[in-house]
Amino acid sequence: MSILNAFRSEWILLNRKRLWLVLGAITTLYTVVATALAISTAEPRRQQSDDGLALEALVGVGGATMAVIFSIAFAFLLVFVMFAASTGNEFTRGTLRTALTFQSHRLPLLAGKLAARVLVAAIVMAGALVIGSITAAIVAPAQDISTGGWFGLSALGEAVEDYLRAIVFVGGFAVIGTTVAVLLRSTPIALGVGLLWFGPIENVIGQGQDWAERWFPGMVIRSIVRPETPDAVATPAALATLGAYTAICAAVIAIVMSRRDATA
Amino acid sequence: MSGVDNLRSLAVLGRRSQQDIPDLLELVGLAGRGHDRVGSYSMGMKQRLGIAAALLGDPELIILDEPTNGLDPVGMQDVRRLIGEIANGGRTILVSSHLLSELEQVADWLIVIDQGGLVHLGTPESLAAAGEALVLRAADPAHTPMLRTIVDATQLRVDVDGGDVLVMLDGDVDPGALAAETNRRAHSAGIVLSELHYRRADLEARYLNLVSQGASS
Repeated sequence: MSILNAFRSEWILLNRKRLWLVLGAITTLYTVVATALAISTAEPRRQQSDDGLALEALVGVGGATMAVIFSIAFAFLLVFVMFAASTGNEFTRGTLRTALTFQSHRLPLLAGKLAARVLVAAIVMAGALVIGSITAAIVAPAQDISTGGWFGLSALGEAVEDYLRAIVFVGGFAVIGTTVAVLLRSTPIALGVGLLWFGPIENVIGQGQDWAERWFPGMVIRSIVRPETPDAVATPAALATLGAYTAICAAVIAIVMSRRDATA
Repeated sequence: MSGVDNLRSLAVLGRRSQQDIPDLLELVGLAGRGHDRVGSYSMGMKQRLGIAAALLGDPELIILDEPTNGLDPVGMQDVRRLIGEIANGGRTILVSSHLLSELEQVADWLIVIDQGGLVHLGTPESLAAAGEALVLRAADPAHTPMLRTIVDATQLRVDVDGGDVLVMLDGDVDPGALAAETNRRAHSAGIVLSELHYRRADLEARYLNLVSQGASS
């Protein structure tokens, strides 16, 4: 019940016309540009670089949503920043402390807030998938990519699977961003740590390392939305690892929230 | 987000009624601004919105921590007026503040805490009257030493500050009776007083006296 109240309370704050307009504009701009770029730079598999899309994959069933999910994967830092900042600001602005005077159960409060934010992200992802698919359908013919496999029931099934992958992707970075913010209680420091980890540490130290691909959280989460890449961790293994990381994050949040004051 | 959204969100979180929100906004003087963004509010308006949030669910006890902190004089006055209105409505308000002049204007009961210990509990007037004085001035400055001799008979501490003779009062002395007696004696001695008034110490002076007493004992 506490979680539900926290969820409804946060939803009142998030479900505003202004927020939807801003999110809608950013999502539309990003998805259209990124999807168009992903399709226009796609190469045949033998020439494909690690970071590009394979033309053969695009031609197949679910090619449209694959291009969109490929684009969304590049927004991992944005997702992390949004969740870390929204939680960090709760500490620095004192809104978490105010909320606790109305509902004193800390973990249900945080869980409800996180659930409401993930729901907003899930709605945005659904919008991105639709907008990106339309963009892909418009751009693909100009690249001589057949869109024959993009329509029909099997393509819809692929789209649903891609959507679920996108939700896991958002949820993973949401949990990590929230955990870092709860630990550090400062938006700038949380963002700095996140940028350092998901930037140079994961992408330089972890580049080409099998153990890094297998265990670095950012790489594991990206494996879920880009399962077609050669170094990607198999989806079941990636989900299991992500589940373990989520449990660890939940434990860390539970310990920190129950033992420390709720001020910045 | 708007002020109304803010209150709705907190009401849902605390399972409190949302029906009072328009009345609460009216009470705190934000009736016309409830649907404006909180970001556009002044510091005083945000503080009043916070008080409205505290009133959600019609609580009997409200705790306000430094309610006028960071406000300009007009904002401070607004918040003090609001505290008075809420208290007059039958609620108990506990105000935590280090601004003693502010407490003097709003509080009818004081809890003074120093170094974690209770040093006073009671009305502002019940604080020791240290710093309170009867101020006398002779019309002829040449009569000041004689005036001092007259008031020395009261057995109270007497200070002379320029032409003023200050009779420092303690808690047991009735300032009205002392003023009448001193005036009568001065008149009998042929001294005309150009000034005779009771100077009340502010809460800050009384608090400092109380705390210093505690430190020295």
